[in-house]
Amino acid sequence: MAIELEIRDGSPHWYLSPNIWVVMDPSDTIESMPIAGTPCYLKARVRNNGSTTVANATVKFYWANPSIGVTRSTATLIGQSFVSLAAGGEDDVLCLIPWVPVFLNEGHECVIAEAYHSSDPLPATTDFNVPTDRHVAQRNLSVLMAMNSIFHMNFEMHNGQRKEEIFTAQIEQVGSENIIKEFPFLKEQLRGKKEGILKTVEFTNTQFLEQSRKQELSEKSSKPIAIGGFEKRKLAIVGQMEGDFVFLVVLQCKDEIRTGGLGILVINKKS
Amino acid sequence: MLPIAVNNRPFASDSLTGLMLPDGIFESSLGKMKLNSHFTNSSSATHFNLSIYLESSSHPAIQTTPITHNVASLEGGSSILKSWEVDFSSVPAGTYYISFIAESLSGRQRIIKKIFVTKVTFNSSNHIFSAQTPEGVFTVRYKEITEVNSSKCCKEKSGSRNDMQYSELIENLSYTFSIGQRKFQLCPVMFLPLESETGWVSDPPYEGQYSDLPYQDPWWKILLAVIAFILIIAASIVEGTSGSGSLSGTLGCTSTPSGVCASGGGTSAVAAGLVAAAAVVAGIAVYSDERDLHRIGQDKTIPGGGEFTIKENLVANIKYIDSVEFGKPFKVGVDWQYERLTINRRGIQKSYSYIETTINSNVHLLSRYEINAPDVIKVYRKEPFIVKASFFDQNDRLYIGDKLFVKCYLVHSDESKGVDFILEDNGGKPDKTSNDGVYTGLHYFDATDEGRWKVYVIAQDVNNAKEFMEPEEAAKIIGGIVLTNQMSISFGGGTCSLVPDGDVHVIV
Repeated sequence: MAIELEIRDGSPHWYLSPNIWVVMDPSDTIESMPIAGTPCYLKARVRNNGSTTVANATVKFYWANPSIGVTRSTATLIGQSFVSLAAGGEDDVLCLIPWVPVFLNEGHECVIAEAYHSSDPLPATTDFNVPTDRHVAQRNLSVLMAMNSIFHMNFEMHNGQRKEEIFTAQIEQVGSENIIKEFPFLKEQLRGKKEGILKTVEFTNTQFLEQSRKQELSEKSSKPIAIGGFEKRKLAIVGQMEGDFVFLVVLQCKDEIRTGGLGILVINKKS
Repeated sequence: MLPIAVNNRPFASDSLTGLMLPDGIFESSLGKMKLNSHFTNSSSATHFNLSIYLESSSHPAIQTTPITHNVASLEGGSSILKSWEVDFSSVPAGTYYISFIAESLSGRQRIIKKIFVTKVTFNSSNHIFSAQTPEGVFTVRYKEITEVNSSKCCKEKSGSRNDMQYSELIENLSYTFSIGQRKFQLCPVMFLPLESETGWVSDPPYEGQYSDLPYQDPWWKILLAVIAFILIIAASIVEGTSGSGSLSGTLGCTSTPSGVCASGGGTSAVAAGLVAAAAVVAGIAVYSDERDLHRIGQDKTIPGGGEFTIKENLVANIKYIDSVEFGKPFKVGVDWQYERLTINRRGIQKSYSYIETTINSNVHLLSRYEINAPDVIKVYRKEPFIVKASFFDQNDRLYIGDKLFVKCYLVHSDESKGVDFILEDNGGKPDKTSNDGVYTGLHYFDATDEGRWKVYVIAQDVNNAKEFMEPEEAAKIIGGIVLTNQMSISFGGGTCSLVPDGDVHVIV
């Protein structure tokens, strides 16, 4: 256990790591939500669980479209930084290369960070393997506004394998208490608001919600999806909620193993 | 938070000569360079066991070789210089940011500082050098330079007023460096501009009287100085690489393999550095620190309403009234003509011009400096070679701490090898007391170093402009100018040897 670098995953939702965050200015200590078209910066909290000091470990930062199952070949590298840590030490690492969230995704993207060193290398694979690889963490959190209690969001599912695979996409509402504890910046956005319930939700193949379908939402919240080798599939969810806000997770599963996840905080704009 | 600060802009030093570039600006055509920064303990207490490293940069093409420097102790108020090798070869011209981390058991500090990167190119068909900046393109064409006589030493200016022949210049300069053959010459060939034409094309064309300054900070003459510096460095690298005296149209990257850069040292490096530095100090003096000739030209030509300036030119005829000598207030006369070309919204062009004769002086001054070093070192006794140096400004006040960048160059008498090391005034070994104005450095010779070595101690001032200053205010503060006078260029012929500050006999 000479050097053992870690960026802690989220818990219980590993794809919601609180150890990667966005700041609007490199000197900011408080995190912000990314805004489409506005440069922001990423920070990651890296820990050395080993018994030896690590000098000049590399920390890489990536972004991806709101997606599940993202890999190193489908994510976009933002930049890299270095960190030196004593045994048992932990520090924030800043990426000074600005990240400009694209308008296409309305500023909601997935960010990933990984820390490694020649004495503690990454596994030789293009998969991030977030839940199993301590070097890597992912923050796949979107904040979405519902209009008149109806919401819609585009996202992608990725297959990092060479051959076609059948995945299951699932969506469920989860309690927000733990999430808010991990992401204190959400407290401000949810001040005075009461948690509501998800009434209906559906996966669609369309990128945009058609007005005529708004009243036809079904109860479907799980769907099998075939994705070709090294390919991605564009999907969307549409749903209806009741109350001020709900927290949803979209999961990509393969043989009942969760291979990807996306957290969505839906705030009802009308309320 | 740990009270460690970086008070001055981090600066570039060239890998071949080890000298700071004009105003510390980074130049992408030089490829791998050193990024240097003074870290100051801004408290009164000593801090122990510091780690300092470069965390991140704001452009992905800035390729850093990561190093974590360990500092045993740093006294309150003292500054320590740390360096990193950084490859700028693919970095576009621009203003960038670097983040450093300084930490100890007492805390951690992230320090974010600005740096400037130029990109100089050479067009061999029209002999124009161009320096790209975010605010526009600066160009220079040397029409006439100092001539080299048959003994390869200084001579009066050449008679021709035609465009100078770069191949001849490079051949002559290459004689000075001759790195490929390892023949180090103590008589450097000079390069000083006598007639030059500089241009500024603002991007975009601007309305009104004044354009933005390059990088919103330095005067245009810094770009001229960068070009002069890298022309000479390129000449030495061309020689080191191919042994030929030609300069290709793609100055820089193609001629700067890292192997050559790493072979710096010896008198050639000292010569290259000082010849480059002479061109820089002369150019800076010509254009004046206080207000750049380009700015004065803008002062004196007021475009009409609705006109946009699309190009500015400045032709300068230079007369060196005194010998060009580092650290001395030598005078330079310049007859110059500025021309502004404008265009209005209907596409009608108009030009404005201004002519003036000016006498300017070098303002980067040193009244004297003192070097203290042993003249005999017995290697078998493991004696350290400790060099102490003090530098006095024009008012006889000592320079202290992070106000200077000081290096000692040691050159073996058979000129087969050389080494260099930094001198600092921070109270860390071997320096005894911080900020007392005594810069100290140390080198250990080994059993292969027998013989007599020449000692050169070269000090350059540092740009200490503060980040809150207005661009015009910051532009008046220029760093990277050599202050120590190991070389003087007079125009009466004779020798222009490098004058060492002393020598040391190494007994193994």
